[in-house]
Amino acid sequence: MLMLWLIGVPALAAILEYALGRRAPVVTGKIAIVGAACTFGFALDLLRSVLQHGAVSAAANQLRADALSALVASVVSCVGFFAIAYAYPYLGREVREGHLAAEKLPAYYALSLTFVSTMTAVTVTNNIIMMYVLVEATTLASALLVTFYGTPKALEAGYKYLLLCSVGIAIGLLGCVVLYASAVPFVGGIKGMEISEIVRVAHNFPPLTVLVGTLLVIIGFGSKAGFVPFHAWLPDAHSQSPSPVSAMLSGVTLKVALYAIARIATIFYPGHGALGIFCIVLGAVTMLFGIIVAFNQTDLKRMLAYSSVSQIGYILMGLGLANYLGFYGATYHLLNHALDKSMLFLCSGVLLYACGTTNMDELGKRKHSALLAICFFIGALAISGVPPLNGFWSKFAIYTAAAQAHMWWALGVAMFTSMLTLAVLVRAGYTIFLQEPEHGSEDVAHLLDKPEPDAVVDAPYPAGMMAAIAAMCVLIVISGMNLRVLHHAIDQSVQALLHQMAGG
Amino acid sequence: MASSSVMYISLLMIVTSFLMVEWRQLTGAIYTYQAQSVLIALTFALYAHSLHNPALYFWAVTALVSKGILVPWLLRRYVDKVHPVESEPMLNPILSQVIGFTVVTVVFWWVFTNHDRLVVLPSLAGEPYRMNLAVAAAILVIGFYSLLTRRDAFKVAIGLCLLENAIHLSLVSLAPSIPETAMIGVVTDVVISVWLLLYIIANVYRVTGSVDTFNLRNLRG
Repeated sequence: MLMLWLIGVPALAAILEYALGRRAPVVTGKIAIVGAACTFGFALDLLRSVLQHGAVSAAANQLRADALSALVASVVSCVGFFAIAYAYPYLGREVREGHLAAEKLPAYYALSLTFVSTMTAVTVTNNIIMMYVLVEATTLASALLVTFYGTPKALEAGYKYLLLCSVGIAIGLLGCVVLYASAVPFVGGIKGMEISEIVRVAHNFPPLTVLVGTLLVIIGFGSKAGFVPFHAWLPDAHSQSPSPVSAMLSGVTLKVALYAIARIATIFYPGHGALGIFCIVLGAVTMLFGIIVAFNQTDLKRMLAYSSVSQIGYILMGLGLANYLGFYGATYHLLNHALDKSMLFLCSGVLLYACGTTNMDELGKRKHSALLAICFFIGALAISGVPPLNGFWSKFAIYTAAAQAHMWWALGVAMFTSMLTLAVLVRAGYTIFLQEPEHGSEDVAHLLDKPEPDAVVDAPYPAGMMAAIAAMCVLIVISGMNLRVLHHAIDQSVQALLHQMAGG
Repeated sequence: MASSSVMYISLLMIVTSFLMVEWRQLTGAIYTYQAQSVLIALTFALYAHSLHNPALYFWAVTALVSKGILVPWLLRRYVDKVHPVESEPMLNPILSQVIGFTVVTVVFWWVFTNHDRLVVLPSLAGEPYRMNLAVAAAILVIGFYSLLTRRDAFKVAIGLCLLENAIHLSLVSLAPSIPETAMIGVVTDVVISVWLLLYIIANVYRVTGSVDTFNLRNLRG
């Protein structure tokens, strides 16, 4: 029942938002915030109940939630809530300044809520064909959000996003169908779609079918998750969409696609060592390529997007290692990256709001608030894996897992990438927040006494936006503190994956 | 009788795929797409008849409604609004046809002759004409070819439709037991994705005055 609420509430809120928001502009956005908050509440409640009583299913076993589903659903709705709450002041100002027509706002909130609804639906579906349908639905719901500003660049990004993801996921459909068809002889045409049934009979499948089907699934859904070389849409879509949408895209849409891969591919690991190796190699290529390209970016949002590509590689590597610590690191990193990167994208939104640009050199010429700088650095250090922040623990688990599996080259690539990440993000933070503004040949000492008149802090940041960022920052710090409840949730998620591998 | 009609339908499907890619008058390409969708629905009906699987009649109806009526209608609506002639493709027409034809022949021949080895699924062994998979593979390749070599955004959208047709066609061999509800979900996704793509292309045209994807190269690096 809770799972139906989880999908239904944001969908209902989307309809209400669109219907009422057009008539009464006063309620625009408020319904969305309430709806997203309720969804977050339901997701936490689902997580609590799953952790206490084990996996639950509903709607004739079409919906099923174990600890992993509930954890990803909580992350999705958490980031969704913060992104929508943040959008309220952010878009409000764009309307006031005339960059955006007020009539477009209800559509924005309705699409955002639909987006959240489709993503939570992916996490709880137990139907392998519906998994394709819903992952494609997340693309469809977000395509118009990417093109929301309607500028030529935004439209170009939306065009690439929709086209590449549709083609990629169509390949994923072929994989799902192959796996479904191999289950049909054992459990019948209707039951064969249920992932929990496939888990039970997976050991009977012909090996070649499994290999073809799973590789198609990894590549197909991987195009949505941003694996190299299927990542071309990602930096464009992330840099051109409104910042709250970038936060959702990077923070959770990539994770939802990865969740689909974890859900389906891990079933077939036993007896197919090649699949794990494929994931590790793809993960290593993705993380290294992503961070190397991130080095060259001058645009903050593009840099963050490439860094997301790189971090996705860690999660994929953790999944490929297929031991307890690997899965633990992957699940934990999934959660950490969702929080860290969404927060960084929200920071970039504040900078864009205040300075009207996301070019890092331009941003460096202005003064910014100390709170924003602290939040940015905490996010940057967390995602680079600096102890004692959350990213360190998840990456450490993945390193240890690689060492346990005697994958020394993978360990080396992962640690090297981590150092590069630190360099890229700290350099960005330094350029934006700490570097003294350049003043040509003028004497610096002279300027220290008498600050430039135009270097004053810009118009104060809206409290709502800063509150959302600060709250996420607190969550980041807390999630690195080895809390028992967090450990329990991740441990149970890993057990769910190991349970799948063992054949149910 | 059924066997030879499947042969003709398969041949026609490949010919229509070529026409869709090469016909530079977009309205013509859309009509061809419509014709191909009807052929796919016919194939489903033939399979339903020869495999005694009445559920496949339902597939025929879904394919006819979505790809025979809805998608062509959407395509027509947006193409008429913008402009009906494709912008210059990357390759000259003769070279394009030669390359396309060669690639497709090789793929078709390879899948067709290796059909029994490619039968990795028990359900495929029961496929009566041993032809469908090869046709689907050929159409898939033509679809990718169109995505890779065409500059006109509408032609790319038509290429995407072609790709979806190929996958739809392969489903009848791979998994004829997919329930109707799941099939409706898949088809709905396809229709909406084509619609959104067309909507975005129309907006691109409104803002930039062109649907040439060569102009869509501002985002680099």
